[in-house]
Amino acid sequence: MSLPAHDRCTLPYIICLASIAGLILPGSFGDLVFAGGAAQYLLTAQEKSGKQIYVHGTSPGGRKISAYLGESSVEVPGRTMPCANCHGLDGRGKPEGGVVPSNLTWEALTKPYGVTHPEGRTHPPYTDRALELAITRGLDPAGNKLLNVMPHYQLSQEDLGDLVAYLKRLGKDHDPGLTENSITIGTTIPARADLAGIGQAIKAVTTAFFEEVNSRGGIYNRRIELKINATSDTPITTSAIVKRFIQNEQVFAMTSAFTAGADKELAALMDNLEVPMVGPLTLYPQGGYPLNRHVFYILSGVEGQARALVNFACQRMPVKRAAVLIVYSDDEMAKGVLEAITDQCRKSGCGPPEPYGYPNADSDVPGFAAKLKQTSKSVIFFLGTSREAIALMKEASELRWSPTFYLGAIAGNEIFGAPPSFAKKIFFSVPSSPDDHTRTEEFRDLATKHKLPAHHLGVQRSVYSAAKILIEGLKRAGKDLSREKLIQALEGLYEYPTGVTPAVTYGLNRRIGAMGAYVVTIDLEKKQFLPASGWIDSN
Amino acid sequence: MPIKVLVMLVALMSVPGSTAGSVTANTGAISSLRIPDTAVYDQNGKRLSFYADLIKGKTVAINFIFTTCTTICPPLTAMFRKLQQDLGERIGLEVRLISVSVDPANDTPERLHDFAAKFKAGPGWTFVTGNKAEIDALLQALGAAVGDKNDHTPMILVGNDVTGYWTRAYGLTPPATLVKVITEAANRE
Repeated sequence: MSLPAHDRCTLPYIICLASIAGLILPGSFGDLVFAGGAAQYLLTAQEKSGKQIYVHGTSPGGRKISAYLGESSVEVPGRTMPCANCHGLDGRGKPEGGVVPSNLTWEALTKPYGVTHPEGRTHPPYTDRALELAITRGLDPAGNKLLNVMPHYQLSQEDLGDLVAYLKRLGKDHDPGLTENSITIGTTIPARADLAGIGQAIKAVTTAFFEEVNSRGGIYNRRIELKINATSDTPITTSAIVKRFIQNEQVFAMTSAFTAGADKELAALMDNLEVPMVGPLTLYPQGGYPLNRHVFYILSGVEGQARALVNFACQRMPVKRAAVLIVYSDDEMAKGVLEAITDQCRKSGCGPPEPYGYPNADSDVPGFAAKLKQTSKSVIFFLGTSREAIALMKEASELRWSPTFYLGAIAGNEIFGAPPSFAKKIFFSVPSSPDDHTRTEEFRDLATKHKLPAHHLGVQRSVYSAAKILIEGLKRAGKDLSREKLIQALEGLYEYPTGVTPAVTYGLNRRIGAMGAYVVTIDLEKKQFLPASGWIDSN
Repeated sequence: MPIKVLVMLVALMSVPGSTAGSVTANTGAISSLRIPDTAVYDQNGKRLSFYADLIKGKTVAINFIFTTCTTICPPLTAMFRKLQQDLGERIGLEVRLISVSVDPANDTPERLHDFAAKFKAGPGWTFVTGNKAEIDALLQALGAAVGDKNDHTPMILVGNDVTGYWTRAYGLTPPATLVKVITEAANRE
């Protein structure tokens, strides 16, 4: 990897060598010595265990933690009332419903002159032992009862020791990948040789974008440090490699990782490691319920596009209940789309559709076409290749039958070979259109200045918008940054214009930024794609 | 600053013996309460009419929660869980527990379902959400409307539709005391 321009040394020679070594040397040695004081943020193993108890209310050793509430000793599992619920990840407390939880930062707990609480309760400073009593008996150092919303916890001595050890660091520890002057962002590129162009596009655009951010002072004086790794042969090995990468390189958040082929595994990994990931490159976003809080997709995948296509088709149908046929190739991937179409037909009031599997042998296609014609339905959602769609259209044409075809998979140029009787009868959807390119000059300037490659422009736009969304999230999360704050900031994005995609909205229950598609039709004579609709929401 | 002070004052007034640990229910009878028949969804996504399906002919205890509320709602819900256990067979037949979301815009039935499952809510305990404007009107009618959901009152509304007797209790009233309040409401002529 060549050194970005702003890293060229203007510092004395020795420091310069060190910083280059830090960039090149993999592993923790380089990080610890050169990454600008990262060590002060690292938690010990005991503090890490304590943090798990504080944040999740579960014991790293698998031991029981119970919470008892009020005089009546209502017992619930510790995980339903972890400390962080009320006292916050930073320990400063989250007031709600008239309850003002105490500040648990060590400085606040150990003020030499003691603490006087709003309700008049006063007590001397906390000690380790006093904290243990507060947690297990609900008493402050003066022996006063704590607020009755504060549960008493029953936990092993070891877990209690870990928790107290962490409380001394609370509010001062940072998520991995974050220092006073840097934020480490990771990405993953495809390892396969035939996808090398995509890898180059990811690397070039991300590097250029972050270089621009850094040249303007970074985010609250923190530089963005980019780390890159590559996928492996199988989803399982890819997941293992990315996990090692995130842990070894101390990655704070991921951007535009190439997850295609390992979508489920990598999304689960991010959830497990609690690492936010923005704009993974995939056609199959895992945006359904239960929600994966950590992965933010930009565009609708195949399923979301199919839903928009159904909304469009149902609106055009003169008789709403004129049911629909779905023809699908026997493909694992088609299954999700099939379900999405069925569900959306129900919501749009034009279902239920009848599914038909595409024949395995070409010789069976004529008979298959005849069978479909007999249903006297006039709308087909087709989930297969363009070649298969054309073969079916040709047989239908022989039978003087020309139903409207909605292609659920992406259409290639071969679709122009469709029979003339299907003119104006073929539609498909795309997740973004040139109409969305409202601020292309920003992207163009970046491309010119950093000599971005001329290929894979679609990928480049996606990578660019992911970087832009991530940076916006980091800005909104503020100087006192954490992964959780980044997630909350991203959830607050509403109709955010990336300039090269439809506007992006996230929310508590939403992880696909632009949920919908444009419908496109085909001019068979001029061999052109023509817009058939404006933006159709598939929310 | 004045707002904070006010919040604290309210907290002090509404928390019965927060330091002394008193167990009074601090209830107050309500002269008249009109319960609207708002169209709502339960935690299973089932459409219900609030009055006809949940209140009519029953004794109920209603609390107010939202799923992203982490300080006050888990204790409120844990209290309802204990109440459910203590009421035993009376739940569902004679007494019904209702948790109304004060954040219907975000609290989908799925979110409520997860929240309910976390606290092992059983039959006879319904979590309610719906269209924001309609739920807001419902909250208004029940005297539980707030501008900021984070300031929502930890209050339990206990009532008997047959006799029209309604009363309010502090949300963290010990379940044993609440059972008495509910029994009193159920038996009241």
